[in-house]
Amino acid sequence: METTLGVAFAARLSLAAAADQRIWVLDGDLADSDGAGVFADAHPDRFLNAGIAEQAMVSAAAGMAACRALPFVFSFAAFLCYRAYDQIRTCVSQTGLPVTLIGSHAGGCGSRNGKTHVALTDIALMSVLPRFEIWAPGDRRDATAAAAHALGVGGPSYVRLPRRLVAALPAGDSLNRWLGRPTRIALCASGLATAWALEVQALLRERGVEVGVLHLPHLWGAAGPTWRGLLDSSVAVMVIDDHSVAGGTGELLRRGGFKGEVDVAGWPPDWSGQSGAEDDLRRLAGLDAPSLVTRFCRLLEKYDRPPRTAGRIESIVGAASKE
Amino acid sequence: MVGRVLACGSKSTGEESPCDPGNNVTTFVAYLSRQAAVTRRRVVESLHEAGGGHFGGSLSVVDILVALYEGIVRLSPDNLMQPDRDRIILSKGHAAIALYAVLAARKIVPLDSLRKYGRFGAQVEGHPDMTATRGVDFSTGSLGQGIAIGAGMALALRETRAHVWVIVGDGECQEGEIWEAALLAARYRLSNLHVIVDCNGAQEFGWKHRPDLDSTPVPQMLEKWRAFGWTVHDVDGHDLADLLSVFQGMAVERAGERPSIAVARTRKGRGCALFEGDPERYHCTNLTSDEYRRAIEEMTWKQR
Repeated sequence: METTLGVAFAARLSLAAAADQRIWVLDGDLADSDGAGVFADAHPDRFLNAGIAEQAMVSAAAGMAACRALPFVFSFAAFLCYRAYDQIRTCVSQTGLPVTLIGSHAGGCGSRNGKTHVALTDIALMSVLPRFEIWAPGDRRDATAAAAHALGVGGPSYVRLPRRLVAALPAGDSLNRWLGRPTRIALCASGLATAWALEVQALLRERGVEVGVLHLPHLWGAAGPTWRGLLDSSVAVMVIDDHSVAGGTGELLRRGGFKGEVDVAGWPPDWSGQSGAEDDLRRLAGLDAPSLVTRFCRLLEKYDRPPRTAGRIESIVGAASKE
Repeated sequence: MVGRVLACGSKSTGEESPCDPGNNVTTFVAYLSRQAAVTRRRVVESLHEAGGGHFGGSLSVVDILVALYEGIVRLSPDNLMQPDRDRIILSKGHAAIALYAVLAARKIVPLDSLRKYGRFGAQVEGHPDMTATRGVDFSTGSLGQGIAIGAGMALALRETRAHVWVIVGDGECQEGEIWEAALLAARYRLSNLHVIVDCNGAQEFGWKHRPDLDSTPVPQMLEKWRAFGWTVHDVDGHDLADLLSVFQGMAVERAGERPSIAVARTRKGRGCALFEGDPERYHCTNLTSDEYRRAIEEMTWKQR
C-alpha cells in the first residue's frame, strides 16, 4: 500500500500514545501536509500546533522532554533543520534529551514548491550534531520502525521523510538490509533514493548484471554506524542519494569506516533546488535511472576483474541511455 | 477618504498613464477593480493548470498587490533597473502566483509564463525567486524573513527617495523573526519601510482540534505593532480606494520617525464564493473539474 511516510509515522505514534501519556506531537502548522494531523485527530490534547514558529517549537519540545515528556516535532525538513538549527544544537543535541524531529518533504524533489522548500543538506547538518540518531525510511515499514525506535532510544533522533507517496520495499531480516544479494560492487541508498536504486538494479538485471542494493533507513546511531558488517564483502559502492553529494549517505559510509571506494550520485553541490517534477529534476542532476546505470557501469568496469561483464559494458551503457 | 487618493501618483517613477490616479479617482479605482478581477481569474487558471496550489492566500492578497503595483509603485519594464526605485517584497511567498499575475499585467513577465507556473524550467518558480523572475525584488518562501530583508533595504536606501514595501501574512506573523525585525526597524526609525499584513484570519492547519483556544493567527495585531513602535493603519483590504489612500498616507509618513504598517482585513479566497466559504479546504489544494468550472464561471461574471 502506498502512503506518505509522515502519516505512517504519526499513526504509529498515535497507537503508542493510547497507552503512553508521555507522548506529545508538536507541529509547525503543516499537520495536513506532513502527516501529524493523524495524531491531532487521535489525541488533540497532546497535539500542540506551535504555529509558524519552528524555533519556539523546538525549544518547547526540549522543555517538555526535560520534564519527562516524549515530544515528536513535525515540520518540513527545510524549516525544521534550517530555521531551528541553533535550538536543535543547544536544546536538543547538547542536552541529549529525547526529542524526535520529523522532517517531511526532505530531499530535492519539492515539486512546484521550489528551492525554499527543499532540504538538500539535512543529513549533513543533523549527522554532525552529537547524540543524534539519523533515519531515512524508504517505506511504511521503515517509518513505523523508526517511530518505535525513537520511542525507546532515550535521546535525540532526526527522521527525514520524502514528500511523495512511496511503495513498499522488499522486506528483510533487519531494517538496514540488502535488497538482492550482496555484491562486491554495490549500490547503497536510503529514503526515497532506495526506490531509484531499485530502478537501476532492475535495468542492470535486464542486461544480465546482478547488483545488490544496501538499503539504510537507519543511517546513523548515537554510537556511530548502524550498518557494521553489512559492507564487509564490498570493495566499492555507488551511493544514490536524495541529498547533496556533500555530507550525505556517502559521507556517513566514509565516516563509519568503510574503506572501499564511495562514488556518490546526489544533488550537485552548486544546485539550490528548483520547481519541477521528480523525473525532470532527476534528469537535470543525472539521477535518472539510465544515467545512473551508465555511471555504475563505469565503477563496475574499474573494479570487476576479471570482468564478468567483459565486452558488455558498452552495450549496457548504450542500452541504458536509450531507456 | 477617496479625496485623498487624488494625491496619489507615481511617486517613484513619474510615469504617466491613461489610468493615472491623478486624473480621475473614480475612473482609476474602477480600472484597478477590473485589474483585480482579471488578476484573480488568472490566479485560478494558473494554479489549476499547475495541478493545484495556494488558492486562498493568493486571492486574498490580490487587491493589495494591484493597489500597490498599479497605484503606488508603478513598476514597469522601463524603471525595473532604476537603483532608487521602490522595492516590494512578497514575504508570504506562497502567494507567488498573485505577484506573477500582477507583474504580467505590468508587462514585466510574459503573460503566457503564468500557465507554466511552478513547472520545471519555467520563468516563474513556485515561490518568488529573484534569480529566476524579473521584477521580483527578493526571493521568499521560507516565511518570516521579509520584514528583516526590507529593513536592510530601507537602511541601504535611506538616502534615496525609495520606499520599501513588505507584504506578510497574519499567520506568518507567528514567526519570531517578524518581531525581531519589528524591533530593529523601529529602533532605527526606518520611516521608508512599510509593511502590509494580508490579515485573512486563517492559516493552513490552525487550532480547529482545540475549540477552547483562540484560533486567530495573531490576536490583537494592531496593539502589538503599536507596542513595537510602528505607525499603524487598519484598512479594508478589498476596498481599493481605501488601500490607495492608506498606502499613499504611509508613503507620506516617510518624513516621520517610524516605520509604518497597514493591517489589511481580507478574506481568504476573495472573489470566489466557493473558496471564501471553505478557507481551510482551499488554503492549498487542487480543484476538481466541477470546482474549477464553478470558480471560473463566477470570476468571469465578476470580471464583466
